[in-house]
Amino acid sequence: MNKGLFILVTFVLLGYITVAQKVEFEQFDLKNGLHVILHQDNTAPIVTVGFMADVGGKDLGGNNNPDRTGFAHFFEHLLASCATENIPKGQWAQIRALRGGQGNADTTLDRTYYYQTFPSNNLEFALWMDSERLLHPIINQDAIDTQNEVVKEEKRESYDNKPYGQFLFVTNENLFKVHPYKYKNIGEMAHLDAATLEEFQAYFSKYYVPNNLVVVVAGDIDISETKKLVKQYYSAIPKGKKIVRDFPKEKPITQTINVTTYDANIEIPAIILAYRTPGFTERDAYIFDMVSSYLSDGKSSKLYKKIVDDKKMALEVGAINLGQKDYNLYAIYAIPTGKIELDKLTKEIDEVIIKMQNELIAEKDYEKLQNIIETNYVDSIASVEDIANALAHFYLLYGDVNLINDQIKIYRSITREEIQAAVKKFLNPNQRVEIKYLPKANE
Amino acid sequence: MKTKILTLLSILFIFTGIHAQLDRSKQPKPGPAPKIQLQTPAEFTLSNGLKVLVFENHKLPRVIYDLTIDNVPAVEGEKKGVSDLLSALLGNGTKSISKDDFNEEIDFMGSNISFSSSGGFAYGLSKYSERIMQLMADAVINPLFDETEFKKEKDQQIEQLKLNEKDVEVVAARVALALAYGTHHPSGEFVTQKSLNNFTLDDVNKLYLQNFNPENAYLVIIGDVDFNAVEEQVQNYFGSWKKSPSIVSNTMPSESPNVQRTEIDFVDMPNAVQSNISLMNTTKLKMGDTEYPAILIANHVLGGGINGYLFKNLREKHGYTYGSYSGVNPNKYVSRFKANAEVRNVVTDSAVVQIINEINHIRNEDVDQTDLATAKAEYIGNFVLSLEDSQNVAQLALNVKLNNLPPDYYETYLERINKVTAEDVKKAANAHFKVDNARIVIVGKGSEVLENLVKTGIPIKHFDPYANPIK
Repeated sequence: MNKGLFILVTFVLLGYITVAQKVEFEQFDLKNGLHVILHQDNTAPIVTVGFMADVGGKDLGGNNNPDRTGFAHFFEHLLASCATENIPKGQWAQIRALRGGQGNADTTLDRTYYYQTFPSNNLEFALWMDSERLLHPIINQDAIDTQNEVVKEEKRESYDNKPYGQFLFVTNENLFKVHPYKYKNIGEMAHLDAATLEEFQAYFSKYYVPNNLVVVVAGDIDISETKKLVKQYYSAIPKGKKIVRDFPKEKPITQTINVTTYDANIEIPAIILAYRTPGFTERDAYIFDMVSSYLSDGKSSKLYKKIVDDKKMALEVGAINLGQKDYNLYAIYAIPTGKIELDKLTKEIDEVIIKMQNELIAEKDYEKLQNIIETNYVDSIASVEDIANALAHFYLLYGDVNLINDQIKIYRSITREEIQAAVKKFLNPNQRVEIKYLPKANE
Repeated sequence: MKTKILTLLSILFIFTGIHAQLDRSKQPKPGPAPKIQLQTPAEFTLSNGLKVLVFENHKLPRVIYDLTIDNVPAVEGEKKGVSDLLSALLGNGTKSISKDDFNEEIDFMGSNISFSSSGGFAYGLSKYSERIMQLMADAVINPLFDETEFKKEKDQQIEQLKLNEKDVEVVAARVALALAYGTHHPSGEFVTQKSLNNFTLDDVNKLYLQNFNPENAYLVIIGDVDFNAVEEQVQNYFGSWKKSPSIVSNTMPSESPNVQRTEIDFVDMPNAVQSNISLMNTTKLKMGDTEYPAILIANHVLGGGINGYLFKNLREKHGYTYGSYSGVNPNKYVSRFKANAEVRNVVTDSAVVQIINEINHIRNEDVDQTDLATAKAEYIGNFVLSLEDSQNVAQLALNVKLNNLPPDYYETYLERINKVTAEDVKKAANAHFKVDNARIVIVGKGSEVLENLVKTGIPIKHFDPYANPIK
């Protein structure tokens, strides 16, 4: 046993930590096409090692078979703590814990991200683990059977047993008719039951290849040393084929789509107004982040102030700009108080939007947005885990790592006129899905 | 400024160089142990008794103000909800700034401010740090309480109850606390429509005067501030905060006793597609207790994470759940041990049996050396990783003060964790995880789960979603 830890305590003086706010990074490619990004920050003795794969809920299994949804998320479960040629079954989490590490993974409709954080003296160990699961994970029926049950429980816990838990499912399936954003990220359970081992293995060989991944190492590292180690551990991962996606394009919505849905976990209904807006790399997507802050960020925001605080017609109101690569989902929702009808809430919300279409937002509100943007930016680079995630995200999905520092400049360049124009162009009643989300009586 | 450095050394102190030939079958060895720097705060006390701890850190241009007032929690009884209304009404204007102006300015700065009935929290960009502190202090010292806001907030809380009426998780949490501590106890009582209609704005004001006393208060300041400047600002803005004329010292009632024999306390919710299971008992556990490290590790072995007995059994072996964990938090008065899982209806009874099995496992068998080493290393690793966030570092300093711990408590902390033996773990589990005197609170769909629960042989009592017994 060599895994014990001695702890020695001493006192010293520490100078103030001052770090420029710019996030510095270095990037390079391995010969197999794997892109690597390094970020050095020695203020805390920790290191995050991660990789992001350009594969998400929109990429169906069985060669884009519509009866194979939920593959990317299922894969996250398989690979998050898997056996490999050199890591026996059931050992992943334990050997990581023995080095003081922790980790997780998450999946969106666009990408899957895996990351682990350790005390920084375990950098090499972290690289070994991650390269193990990319090189030769053991994907077998046994692992699939266990995770199949676990994923079903996750769906029940996170969606089916939760008030308003079907919100995103209903919105997506009505907002998207042909694009795979219409599918549930977690998938249909029947599809997962029917999926075969061969389909899962093929999915791995297709998507978990160097040209479809980015590796990120952030924290208390030495750049040149880390470069050497990354080369050693990741170079053997074989190249894959180029992935070609040709998702059908959605036709613009020109007539309001009315939907009614029922949820057994609620007593109070909700109204959801959902719009399809440009994907997150587009300038309009940045504008809609600002629109959301303007509408529902804080007690002085327009929708909250008017509908919740002054008129007391709603318990809750929110405007969400859910970022996705091909199309964003823009949703405004409200939960009424007392006997207020949903149509009345819709009317109140529309009044605020119409005002934004007809007038420029006030100078003062525009300045407020600048402060909110700055605060959000500062919060977004507060930990090495956040920075690692952001670096991978900007490289893989935006094609530009520099955005980690430059995104704030894009926000700052947006004018009041552009905000007005975007609201005018995209937030009209005939361009949306109106969902009446109602309580369902128990049988 | 003083700092403590904790050095973490692994027994094997060899740094393996980079080999030309990579042997993937061997785990790379750790490098030399990193040094962990624990910043100690600069401190001062105002003449009104307010104690201030400043953690200067200029890494990011932001600042956090965290106010904690160390009051003994009060029983609210038939008027339960006064404290909830106090939290909601604070931070909505002051005697000299209207609610709208106050909220507008907080939002304008991109900052945030919120209050509890015994404290407050504000954060924002350092360029606005002085103004944020000024507004926070004004909200604390000269709060604006008016009838219109009182009525609005109260109505909202009543609606909120309805909003959560069918939320299995909310019902489970409420019933569990009510049964474990008793509804006569501050940790067990909960708001109802009736209790919210039992009090006036005057009650809120009384509670404010009683709770917001600078003598018991700690203001923790973290971030991009200059100590000298901030000291002057605190003096300027919090200096006029007056001590309460008469200090009411609450006495804590005794919690409900644990049950003589383990029972299931069942709440029927026909909409549930999963059962929410919590096995629990109350216990006494303080941060300063000698056996505290042993209990932390015992809990970690049982259900501290994905290497815990519960997770490995209920998720990885049986696939009953997305996750199963246990927890026990230290408390000056009384603590609660809890082991929980949310499972599909059909395996509810099997999950109960497996949770009990795992608690018996840790109580009756010595933890094996690898599991013990894993739990310690994981706990220590989590602790080290958490220190990246200066809020967590500040919390350690505050813990020492609030719990009257020795000043070197955290210097020896990891060492004490590391010394825990298998015997200590077993002893701690037997003392605190009282599986034979536990309530197993289950909220689920009766028509699908009760029949099998009866077969477990554990006596079942029935309750409504507000913890009232049903015959």
